[in-house]
Amino acid sequence: MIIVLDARSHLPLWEQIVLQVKEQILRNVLLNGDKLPSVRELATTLLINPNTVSRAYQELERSGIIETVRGKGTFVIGLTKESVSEQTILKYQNKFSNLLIESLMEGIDEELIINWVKEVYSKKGVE
Amino acid sequence: MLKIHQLSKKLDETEILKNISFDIEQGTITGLIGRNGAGKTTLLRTIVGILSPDEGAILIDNKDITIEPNTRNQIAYMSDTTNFIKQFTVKELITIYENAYPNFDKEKFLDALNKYKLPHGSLRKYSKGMKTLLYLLLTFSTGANYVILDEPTNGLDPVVKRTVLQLIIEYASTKSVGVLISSHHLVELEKIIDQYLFLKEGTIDNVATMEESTNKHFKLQVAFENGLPSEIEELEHVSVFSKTGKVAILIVSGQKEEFMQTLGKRNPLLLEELPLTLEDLFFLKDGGELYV
Amino acid sequence: MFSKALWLKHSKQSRLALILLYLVYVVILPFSYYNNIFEMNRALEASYTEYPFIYIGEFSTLAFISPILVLILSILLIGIERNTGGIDFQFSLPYTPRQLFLSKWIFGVVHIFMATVLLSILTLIIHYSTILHQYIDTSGFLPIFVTLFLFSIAFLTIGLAIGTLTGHYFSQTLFTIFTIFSPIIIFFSVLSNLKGLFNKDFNGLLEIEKKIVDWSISFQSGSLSITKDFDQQNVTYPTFDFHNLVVILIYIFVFLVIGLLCYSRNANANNGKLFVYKKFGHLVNILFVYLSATCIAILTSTIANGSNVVVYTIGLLIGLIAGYYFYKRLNKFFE
Repeated sequence: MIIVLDARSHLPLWEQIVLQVKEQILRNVLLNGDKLPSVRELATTLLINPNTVSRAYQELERSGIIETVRGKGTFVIGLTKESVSEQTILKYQNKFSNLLIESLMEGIDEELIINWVKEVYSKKGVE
Repeated sequence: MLKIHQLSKKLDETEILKNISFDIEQGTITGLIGRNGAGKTTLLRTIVGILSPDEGAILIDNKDITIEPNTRNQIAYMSDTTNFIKQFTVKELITIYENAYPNFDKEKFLDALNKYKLPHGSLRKYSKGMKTLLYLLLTFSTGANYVILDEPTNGLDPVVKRTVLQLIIEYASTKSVGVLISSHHLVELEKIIDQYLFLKEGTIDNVATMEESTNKHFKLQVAFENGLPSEIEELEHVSVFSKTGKVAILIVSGQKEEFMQTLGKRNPLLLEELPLTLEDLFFLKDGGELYV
Repeated sequence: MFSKALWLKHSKQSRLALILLYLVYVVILPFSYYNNIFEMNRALEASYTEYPFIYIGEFSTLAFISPILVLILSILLIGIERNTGGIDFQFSLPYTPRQLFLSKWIFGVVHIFMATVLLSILTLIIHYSTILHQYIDTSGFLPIFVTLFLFSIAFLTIGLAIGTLTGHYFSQTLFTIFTIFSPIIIFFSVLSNLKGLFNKDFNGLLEIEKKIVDWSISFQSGSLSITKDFDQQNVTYPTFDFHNLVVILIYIFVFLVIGLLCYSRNANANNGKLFVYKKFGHLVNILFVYLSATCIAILTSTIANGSNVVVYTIGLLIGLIAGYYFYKRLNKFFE
């Protein structure tokens, strides 16, 4: 599994990992049953704190996307509709509104933004 | 847990450390940052026993290390130079470390030597990177639960530096070692630490995780037709990181939405949030003249 | 204190001094003792009327050289490391300062002991396998070697103890030498000042001087030479002087305690300076100024060729000022 961290992103590192794992599952780069690197492995590859990786894995586990089997490792079990929690919804609502406010101040039209949204969704085959 | 409790230290009649308190938990990595002369080296030397505190205590699992000297084998120290150890051979260093630290893991150390292709024998043929790597491995192999590293990545080439950082992460996670690193390499440090301690003029200015700090502060790039309005500049919670012509970079403490709205009312040409790095926090807390 | 870790470190640091020590004790001394054979033969062949003595003096010489060797050892064991980072390294290890100091002391004692034992074995071998044993018996050897051993240990202890007070091997060397001769130096300075300032002569001077010599470590080796008188056909051997041994043991004990008490973590803040304890440094400052004043005063009196209180006082004043500024400068150099 390849994770690329963006130093210029506002998102904390653990969130970036969560998002990228979800994205890779969406794009079928990661399949159900695939084994994820251990916390230690991923931390040393990315040169980040292992607790950061732990936190990302915990969040993914809490969302039901991955599962840790003792003695064997951590595996992908799939992205399902139930796994989108209330908290996640709220968080994204916040993020979107911030972004929207920002762009409004830059003078970007509401119409333009709605077009972008449609574009992204049309490219993805999201259930 | 390694607890530093109200540590004070004077050198030559000057107070170098004033009432310093913080904790280091096993399995975490803590960064110690601060300007040169802020007292970092004195703090580390006092923790590891080269100096003794004037006031305050150092406790490991609630045992004072000055009263119970056996607890000192829970602390291992790597100084910022290899000048002293380079006179020994690898075998001699193993003898020294395994006799000084009862929990020294000789097997694992020798495995690591092989893994990183570090030759046995005299250290004279070692490059700076190899010496640092060896020193790091020795320090971590002591079996001590708390490892104090003084600028471990100084002067290393990118390849060795990466290896050093990987080792630190690995030992912290698998061996559950509590690591305290003093470093100026903020870009790499930022990613590996659980929390950072900012030492300013002998006191801990701040103990926080990166996330806590990025929640409290944010960095903006703004541009105004007539340059940055003075009312904005003079606001207490606003620090001007740099200012050229119409564009300015600000570091702001406090509520982001509120501030963005305040700014918005003044019709900025450009308003963009930039990621806040440890380096930015450094300049914020002890940057002196922030102007460029 | 018997930690292999520390032992290895001490060995590495003091290698040069150990080589010198063993070279002198195991090679040079036995060889020198061996050379007495030729003296003996010459005395036997030519009926020596001019110099009817043969004098076996190498052990007395050793009593002079060994303290120097041991001093070098103590500097390499405890002084140099304040400048090489060795002291930082050892204090960051899980040892108490007392363990660290004791390990250095025991290290020195063991090596001096081994060197002395090797010397005694080689001496006896030479003695018994040559004509020497026909004219000289071995009764003097035990006092020689025991006294030599304890005498050297005293200097080791003094050197190490001073090393816990000084921050640089420069001041350690000078101050150790001073400490060794301090009773006599101070005695004479007081004498000179009393005479120069108050023209007071002391009755019972010799009494006091003898007392001081009796209790100064530098004079405690006693005579370690064996003399054979061919005329009178008798031999004089060194014997155990219990007063000497007691004084030596007292010095060892006192300085061992000083070293154990003064080797501390806190003193490391002042590594590189003349003295690691500021207050002690002040005392030495006063002592230095006092002694340099006395010296200059004696000098001016000698030049003026007479005992004149005024000349002496002028000399004192010059010495006081010169000494004060010189010490100040010296201190600054080592900051």
